[in-house]
Amino acid sequence: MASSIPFELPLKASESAAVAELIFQQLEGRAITDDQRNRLAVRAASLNLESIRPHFGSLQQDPVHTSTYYLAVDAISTAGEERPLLLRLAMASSPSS
Amino acid sequence: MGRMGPGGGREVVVNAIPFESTDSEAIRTFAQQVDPAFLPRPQGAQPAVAVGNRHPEISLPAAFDAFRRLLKSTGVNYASTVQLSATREMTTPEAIAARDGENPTAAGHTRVSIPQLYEAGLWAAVRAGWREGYSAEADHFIVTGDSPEAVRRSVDMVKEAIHLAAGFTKFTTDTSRLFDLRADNRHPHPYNEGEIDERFQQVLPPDEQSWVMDEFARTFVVGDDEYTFDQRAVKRLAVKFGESLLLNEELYDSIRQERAASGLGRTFDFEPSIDEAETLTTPKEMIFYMQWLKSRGRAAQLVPPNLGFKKRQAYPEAFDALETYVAHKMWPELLQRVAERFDGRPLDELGDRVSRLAAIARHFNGTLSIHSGSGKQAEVLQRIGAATAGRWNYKISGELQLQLFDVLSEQEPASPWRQLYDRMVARCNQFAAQGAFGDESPLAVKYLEMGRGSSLGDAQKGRVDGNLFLVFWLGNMVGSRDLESPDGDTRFFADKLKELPAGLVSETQRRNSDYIVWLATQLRG
Repeated sequence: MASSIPFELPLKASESAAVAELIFQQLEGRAITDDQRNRLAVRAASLNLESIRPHFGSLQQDPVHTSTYYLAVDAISTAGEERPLLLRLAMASSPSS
Repeated sequence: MGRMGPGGGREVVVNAIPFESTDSEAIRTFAQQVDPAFLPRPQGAQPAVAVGNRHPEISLPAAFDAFRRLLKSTGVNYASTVQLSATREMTTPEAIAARDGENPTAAGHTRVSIPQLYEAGLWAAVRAGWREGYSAEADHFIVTGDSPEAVRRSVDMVKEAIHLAAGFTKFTTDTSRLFDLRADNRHPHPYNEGEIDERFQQVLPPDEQSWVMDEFARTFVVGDDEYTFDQRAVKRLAVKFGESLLLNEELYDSIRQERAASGLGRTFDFEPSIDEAETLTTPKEMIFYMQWLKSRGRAAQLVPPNLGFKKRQAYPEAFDALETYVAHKMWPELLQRVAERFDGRPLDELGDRVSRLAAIARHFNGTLSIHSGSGKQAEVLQRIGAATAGRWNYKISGELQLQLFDVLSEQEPASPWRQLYDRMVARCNQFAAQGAFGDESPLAVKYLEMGRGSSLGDAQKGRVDGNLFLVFWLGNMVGSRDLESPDGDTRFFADKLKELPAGLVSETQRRNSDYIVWLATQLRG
């Protein structure tokens, strides 16, 4: 049976999970400010991300599901090719849309 | 991406949504429903560097970077970007799809459609985290045509373009096709008074004739200057501009309707191009145009006079250079004015003229908009900044693209990107040999004979030492195919430039950003 899961993910799952954890750690339950976006960008540097370049200025909460966040990133392939993506980061308990 | 448990006992779900500049639905949904702070807004009275984006994915990030730098250093938000001519550099998606590139001057030579530029602007604003506000400009909706029927067809096409541009917040119209230049005494063959009377009857219906004579039968006091219109002058201005003003009213109403229907905000900035007249704009002309529109409920927030600027070229600083510069132009008063009233100093005259026009713009709560701004030298920018008292809208477009071409041309001869540049130059010269650029086609040979080769000149000096034919026309090549590519890949040059290596993109963006910052810094004085 054919799978809809891509053989090669656009970015490392472990790195997207690390970015998600950082955001949830810092923001859960609080409104996002530009200061927080800037702080997140600084802290993300210590994650040594290889497959993601986050654009933290884009970070925004879902207006309805407040434990869901959106973040524009560039996914960087092992060949160095960049692909712009929008990550939707949600608590597993959040509605899916 | 899937369900993950990164730590802290949390389980998260990460979805990755394609978010290229062309992922229309994702971009619009995010900007409209998740974070409307990324939507453009009208500029109002704010000063702005209005940045054109012929390669949006390259120059828009650079523009937002520049606006961030300027905001940090000056505290002023100069952001006006997402700008291209709606019916020259851009066009409808259907026209882009149908365009084969064999007419390099046909609309859509950037291969960027109107909705595509709007969405690329949102995309770049989101990625830059730019929530401080910016205006998006659908520039130069141009009405053309050699007969009333052709003009009407063109108006219908412009209205279709306005419909597609409903999300933009600044609209510049160009109805100069309907200017009647023979009504101006500076024309080599101006109408006599009898002809003016006759034309006046033809251009305006009787009730409009009475209205215009009453409306302008008074003195306008602007600062220390007084402007009085006698009846003959009003008639001449009405004949010169009447039809274009009536058409601007129609286009304004179309913009208002489309904005209201868009759900993206009703307000917008309106900028009617009087600069496209072949004559230099006089203070009285600007008063006539602004007062007409304001009085009839279609006030212009921005007004662009013809200052005698040429696209992507420096303005002459010496009298002898000005003599050459004005050749073949309908600017008979300029040399005399510079010689007699400004002791032969062109920039002093320019500063005085801009100062008077800016005062009139402010009188109507408008902002002087400077078109053809690319390539102007620091001294000119400083004069404009001072003369406008800091309330300016300064438009550039071509220069950012030329900086991209500079980067290509500086690569080693064996580089594929340098070779791409050389093939663009060759195609441009071939088109010129076929007469594709009209009266300007012979300039291709002229500049080659002058030994200018494929050089685009020194950007720091207004590129006056370069091949000015290429400076003006090479950009149009991106909308044509790379027919002589050695590997047989005949895609459009624009598509190939989207594959530029990251290093060359970064270098272009650095130059673009530095240029915008430099411009604003000079204009601030």
